[in-house]
Order: sequence, then C-alpha cells, then structure tokens
Amino acid sequence: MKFWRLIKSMPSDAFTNMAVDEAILRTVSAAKSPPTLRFYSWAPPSISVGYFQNSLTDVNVEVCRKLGIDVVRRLTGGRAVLHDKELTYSVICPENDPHFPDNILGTYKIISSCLIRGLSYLGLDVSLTPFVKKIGKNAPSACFSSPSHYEITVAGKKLIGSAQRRGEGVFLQHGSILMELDRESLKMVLPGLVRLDTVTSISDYLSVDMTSLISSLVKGFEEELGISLSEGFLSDEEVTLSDRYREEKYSQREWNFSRPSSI
Amino acid sequence: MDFPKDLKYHKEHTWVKVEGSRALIGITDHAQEELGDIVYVELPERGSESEQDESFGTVESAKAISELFAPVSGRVVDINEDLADQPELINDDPYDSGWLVEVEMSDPSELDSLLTADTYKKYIEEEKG
Repeated sequence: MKFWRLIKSMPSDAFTNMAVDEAILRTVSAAKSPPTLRFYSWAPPSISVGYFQNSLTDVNVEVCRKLGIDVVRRLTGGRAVLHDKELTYSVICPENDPHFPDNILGTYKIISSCLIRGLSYLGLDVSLTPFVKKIGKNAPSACFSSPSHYEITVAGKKLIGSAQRRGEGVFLQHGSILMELDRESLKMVLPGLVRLDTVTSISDYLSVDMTSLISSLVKGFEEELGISLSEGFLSDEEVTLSDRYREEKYSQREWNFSRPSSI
Repeated sequence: MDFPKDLKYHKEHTWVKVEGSRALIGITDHAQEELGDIVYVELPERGSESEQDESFGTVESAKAISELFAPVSGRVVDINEDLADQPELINDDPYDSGWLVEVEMSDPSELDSLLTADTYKKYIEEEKG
C-alpha cells in the first residue's frame, strides 16, 4: 500500500496558507516529500483570488479592509473565494503518480471522487458536475457563482470550489468546502457574485464539526485511491520555505494586487 | 492530431520553428487539446532570457495554471501580443497564429536534444499508455 502524508494545519492567515501550499509543492517536486493531503482553515477570514484575476476590480477591497478580511492571490487558476466558515483541502502530488492521469480534468475527476466518497460517509447526497464544454474568460468573477468541470454539488448547488497548478512535474489542487454560508458578507465583498442561489454549504443539510468532516474526507481519499494516510508535519525545509514565501511573496501588495501579464 | 514535420518538439509539449539563429516557439496540438480552452496567457518580457527546460510562462484553462517550458535557451525578441485579447488562438491555430514567443537562440546545439514530429508522436502515444 502506498503511504501519503496527512497534514492537519492550525488555522492560519491567508499569506501563511498559500505559502505553505507552495512550500510543499516545491519539496514534492524535488522528491523530498511524499504526496501530501493537507487540511486547513483561514483566520482571519480571507478572500483568495485566481492567479490571473485582478483583485482591485473583482474584490471590494475597501469593504474587506473594514471587515478585517485579508486578500491573497493564489498560485492556482479560477476565481475569487471567500474563506470564512469552511475547510480547505490541498493535494500535492507528482504528475506521474499512477493514481492520477497526467491532465487537468482527469485529476479534478479523481479528487472529486475522493471528496464525494468522504462526504457520503456523513450522509450528504453529493454529486459530480459533468464536464462543462465552455468556460470562457467572461465567467463570473466569483468562484461559487457556477459549478465547473467535475465539481461537487448538492441538489445542483455548488458545495466545493477547486483549482489547480501544474508544472515542474507536480500538481497542486486545492479547494474550499463550505461549512456555513454568510450570503450577506459574500455579496458585500465580491461584487461580481450575482447569483447566490447556485451555492450551498454543509450546514444547509446537516450539522458536522471540523474533526468529523476531516476524518470522513481522509477515509474517502484512502478508500478511493487505495492509499494509507499517515499524519505528519511540515519538514524543516518546508517551514523555512513557507516563511520565506510568506514574507517575500504572499504578504506583499505587489503579489496580491497586480495580475501577471507581459502582454 | 497534427504534428508538422518542419518543427522540432520538446517533451514538455512545446514546439520550435527554426529561422536562422531565431526560434519561434509555441505549444503543440496535443498540449492545447489536453489543456482545453485557454483563457489567459502569461509570457516573458521582451529582452528577458529563457533557459531550456525552465518555465517561461503560464496559461490558464479549466481553472488550472499550467507552466510552459522552454524548448531552447535564448533571449526573447518577440512575443505574440494578439494572445492578450485572443488566447483562443492557441487552441484554434497552435502552430501558426497561436505562437507564443520568438527567441534569439544562445546555444543552437540544444536543438539536437529535441524530438522530430515522428518521435514526439510516439512519445505522447507511450505517455498515454
């Protein structure tokens, strides 16, 4: 049986959360760490925007500042997410790992199957959105506005929003699992979020604490992939790297408020 | 799927068209198909140096950011500015109007390490298993 590392991180701020995901991505890419499943949450509440998004136009930065919500840009694609009462998962794994096909959609599909299996142990009737042919540039600026490829919905409403980064022989997929939904805050901080009837949270269906949610999801990954997850911690190198990425990148205005492009 | 014979191919699914000491670079038909609809492109600045096998840009498709790897080393002399408004050119026409960058090669002998159309085609068939 293949062993993966499980990391349950303490709630951290947006800059640390994104720095840790990148640190693990680097060490897995260098074959210094095993494939890793990590769970974390965000304190204070934060908005993460997609790599190519313009946070100044897609996020109401002024309202975020007043409400104490941090804004961070992710390494992954996709749209803006408010991380408040939720659990985030991240999977960091070599692209040539036999559990996953070497492509974007196949990876979404398999990780979604793990999440669905995990959520089903809680009694949640979740399903997989089929492949969506066209998601254009003009998609709504908020992630949860519409279900995307192979994402997870309950009664047609989106419950988990996920995104990926691929390169240097490794993929990172992370996603936000909504536990409770504060629709008013969402509307205030993400002006592009026009429809709130397309999104749902676990609390709309059942009551579950973070510990039970994590253990169900761990079981889902173990059984779906046929792996064994053993709880571990960040290596010394990952701690050093994540401190550096937090300091030099994710806490910097230049990273968070200017989108990449030379064209 | 189309793999023009006059191009050289890198295992990270980029192609090179050699014109003297310059190389036009793009991604292959196979790559654009695997990526799906490309919605954003990030390219290096003109005048910057890119290294063979190193990342020189990214594309976004299906909420995934994928890094692009340089098939040869050199100084970037031109970038395809049309991709800012029309990233779909990469999907529609990967070997022509969907080109990415042009570089002045610093070590043309690197071309020897690239694959021909036939060997690239075999390589992706093996990759698919």
